Amino acid sequence: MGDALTEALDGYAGDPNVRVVVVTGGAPGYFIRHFSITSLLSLAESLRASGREWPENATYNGGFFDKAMALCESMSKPVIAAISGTCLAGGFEFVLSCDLRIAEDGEYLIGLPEVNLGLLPGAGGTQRLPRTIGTPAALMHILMGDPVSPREAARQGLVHETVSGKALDRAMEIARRLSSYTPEAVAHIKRLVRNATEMPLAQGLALERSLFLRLCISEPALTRMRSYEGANITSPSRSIEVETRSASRG
Amino acid sequence: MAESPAPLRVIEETPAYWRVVFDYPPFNIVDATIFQGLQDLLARMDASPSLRVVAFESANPEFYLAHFDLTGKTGNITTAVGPSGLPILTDTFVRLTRSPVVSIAKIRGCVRGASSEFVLACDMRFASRENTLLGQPEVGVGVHPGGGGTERLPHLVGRGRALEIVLGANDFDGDTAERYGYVNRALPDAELDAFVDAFARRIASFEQRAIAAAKNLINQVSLPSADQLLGALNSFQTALKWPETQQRIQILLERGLQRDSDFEKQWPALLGRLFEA
Repeated sequence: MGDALTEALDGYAGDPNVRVVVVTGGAPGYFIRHFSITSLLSLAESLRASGREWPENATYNGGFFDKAMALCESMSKPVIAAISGTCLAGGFEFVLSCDLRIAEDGEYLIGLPEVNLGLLPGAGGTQRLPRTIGTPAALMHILMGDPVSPREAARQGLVHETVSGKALDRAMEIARRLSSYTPEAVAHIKRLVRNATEMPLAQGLALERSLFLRLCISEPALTRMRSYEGANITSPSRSIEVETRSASRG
Repeated sequence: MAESPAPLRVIEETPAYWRVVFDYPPFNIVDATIFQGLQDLLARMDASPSLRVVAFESANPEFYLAHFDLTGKTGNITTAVGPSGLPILTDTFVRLTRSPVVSIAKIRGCVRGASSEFVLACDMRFASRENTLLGQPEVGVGVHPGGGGTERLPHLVGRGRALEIVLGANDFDGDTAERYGYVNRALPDAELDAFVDAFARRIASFEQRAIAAAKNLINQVSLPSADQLLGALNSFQTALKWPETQQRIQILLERGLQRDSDFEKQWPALLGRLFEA
């Protein structure tokens, strides 16, 4: 399924009609389970037999899964994970590469249990989780190897929200809202925020100002700013009048 | 107290129970102004820590809310999106259904089209037995309901009666509406206010979390999806542009729709003879 995922994401990244990408699980109860332990075991045995070694400074030639995650991070449109069920190890590492993570409440687990097998999260987990919830919390989670419930995941910041309805419904609600904004503003925001922790502050601030000014003089922004005062239906106004009677009634 | 009165008056009977009065002369036509009032009200409801029940009523006993404006005063309610990501029209109704606050429509007078869809988005409907004309006349105007009527009615009244209401495009009186399940109850007009007030105060006395959790569970098994609602609104907007629809709207406006009080009261009954002189 990894190849198909990469191919699909690649297509959406380049399609100007696609404004937001939502990824969810097709099988009831699961989002993405985890790498098959049986295939991992046979891979490990054949690698061991080959006598190969991996120096610490080796450059790694990304496989399909790494490419899929890199695409989620680099494409100019938001990627939302709608976590519909079990989301462990590689499955959770994948959603860490998405921009927004929405889980639904249920009896399933989210997290990185690799240490239990004498392993570590090998698809970005040790790098992206600290960038998501901070180093101390990431150390606790990965060292303990105890995945958590969806509610707890939201509490700890592993996901943005856990909803009582379907994660996909909430993800689509967010997607509709994001697709109502101009694609340029959304793309610049994603790029700036994504790079904020990777770039020196002065450089990030300079880039932010340039992109802000570019948006400022763009036609879509000018149109929106011009019509803001007159047409914004939710702007403060005297559309309701309030009278309080609480005191006069028993 | 000010020169132009607000179209929605919120009367905070207690911190847990508010009454909202539509007062938008001459007929409480549903246009951008009404939706702005409802959006501001929803923001106020979301911000209230103690609110449990809101009851909606009209200052005009002949018109609860008349119907969707057909004279171009609907602003950006089908194009701009609200906090749910849905267009303002759908957003308003969806947020009302999903709110932890209980909504009750206390109905007197004419309630048609988008107004019927508003009361269907309320959690409960109580209507005056003698003074209710409720309906979805859109098909007789050449369009179809676009604000949730086709999605919510089948759940309440069943497929056959939903088709009768939508395709017949006529008014339903309080008793028939009650028998069909279109409203929860029709009450003698003289008893309506006391009944709704007592019922609202009873719910308002209950625990907020219990009310919200119970409503949420019922929501999960009974609310239409956002995609279905969005599909209906898009289809409605397409239908509004059909030439035969435009012709019907033109005739209705010439006959006195949105201008003439008598015509405004009875127009759905006349839809079957629209092209007769």
